[in-house]
Amino acid sequence: MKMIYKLKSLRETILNRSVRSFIKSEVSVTIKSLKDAIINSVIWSAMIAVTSGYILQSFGMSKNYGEFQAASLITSAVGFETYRTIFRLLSDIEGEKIILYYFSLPIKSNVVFFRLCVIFALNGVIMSTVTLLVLKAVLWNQINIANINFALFYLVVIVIASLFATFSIFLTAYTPSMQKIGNTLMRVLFPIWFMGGYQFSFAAAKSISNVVACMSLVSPYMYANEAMRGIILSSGEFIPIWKCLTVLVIMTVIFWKIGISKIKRRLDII
Amino acid sequence: MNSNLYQIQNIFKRYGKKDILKDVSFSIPEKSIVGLVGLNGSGKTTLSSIVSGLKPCTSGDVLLNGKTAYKNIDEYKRTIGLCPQRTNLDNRFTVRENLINDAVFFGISDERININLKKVIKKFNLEKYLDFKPAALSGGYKQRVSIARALMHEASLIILDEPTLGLDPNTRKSLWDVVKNLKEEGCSVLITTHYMDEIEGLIDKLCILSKGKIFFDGTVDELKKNKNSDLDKIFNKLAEEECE
Repeated sequence: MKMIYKLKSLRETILNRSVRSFIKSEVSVTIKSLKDAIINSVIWSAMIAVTSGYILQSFGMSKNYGEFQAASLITSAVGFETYRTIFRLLSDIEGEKIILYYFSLPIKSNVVFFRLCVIFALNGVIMSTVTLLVLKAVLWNQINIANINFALFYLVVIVIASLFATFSIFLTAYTPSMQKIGNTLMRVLFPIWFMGGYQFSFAAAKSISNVVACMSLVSPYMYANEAMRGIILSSGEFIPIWKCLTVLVIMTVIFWKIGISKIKRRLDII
Repeated sequence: MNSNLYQIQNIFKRYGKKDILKDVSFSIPEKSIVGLVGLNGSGKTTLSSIVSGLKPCTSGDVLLNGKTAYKNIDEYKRTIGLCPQRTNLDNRFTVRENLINDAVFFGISDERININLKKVIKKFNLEKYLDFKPAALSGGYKQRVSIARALMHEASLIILDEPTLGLDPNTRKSLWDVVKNLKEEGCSVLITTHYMDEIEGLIDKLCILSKGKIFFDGTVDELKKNKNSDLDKIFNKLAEEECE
């Protein structure tokens, strides 16, 4: 009964004109600023693709390492938005406080956070597409995009984007000030990125040490990378996509619940 | 424009172990300007945020026409226009977009948006600045746009938190003229400030907040009569007492 009421309330919220306009305005701003984000993504992914697909191979790295890195690169392109979002949220909270204007609107305060997830998902879809195209152009025969199930690809991208959106809210809530943002980067974001299988698969970690493999499972990047590898790579042993998606969804719900409640307390809003 | 009576009843606000507001009660009658005066740290901004429906109170109630605001806070927020100390206009949008977006977010019809936009442009002399980003405006104009934004959604209570902070005397005077005009429009206005002299001729009602409590609630004339002194002297005496 409670679930039906919640779903009904969610449906009403989505159909609400104020809510739709609120989200639409942010989408329009995001689209206007896409040019810079695309240029950044092209430069970044092209450089890494050249390194992992050609330079490292000349030092004896496996021939399909370029393809392997391609999957991690797409995940990272979505995940790296996390730092930018924490930076943006914190600088606003400590400066202009535009977020408080949004909380003064006659809409549920969760919609302000939901909007962040929508923007993350939109960015994720665009950035992953751009990165995939750049990777194909640079790696050419090393990657076969004809084998990719694009419906599944974009489903995974949206789930990953939602996870990192809620993770941004969660980390913003626990970062005390702009001065401490470096600590969040060095103590949380970089470790989970490196330990999250950017350069290795879960199976590879397990073959070396069970402890290392277990540690890597704490990082959401591991599930995101493994799911993406399952879609992009033609062969290899990875955690099944449905298992990765389940864990990512559970993590998203946890970060959403804890992050929002903590940030609301921090901002002292209704 | 709606005409509403706002009542603030027995508000307590506690941060950790510190009581910021203690049993604060006052009312804001319709079409009136209420001055909320107090020293820095007396709890003015916290109180105005509670009245706006943005921050929760620890206990107490905010009533609109006798009904609690907390039962349907979104409906309550529709009647409020909050203009904080630092004008939180969205710098990614132009002045025009800030104004239109606000009305759209508050669910105002397209027809009313056009009417309201024309009205606020004329009232606040914004014609020249419509395509500017707020960051390019002077402090005085930012405040004007902030008030104009509140009028775009037809708020019946405009809350101005220290609106003249950091403004030069001329800009301050022109801003007070704007506030006077709001009353003629049918709005109620709650102004928080510590410039007693500036609001003396402007307000219908005065509430003095001291150490989180209401020290006085009434008209300026009543205060002068009771304390047998002018406003500045009363305020200075209060400041001395708080320092002790």
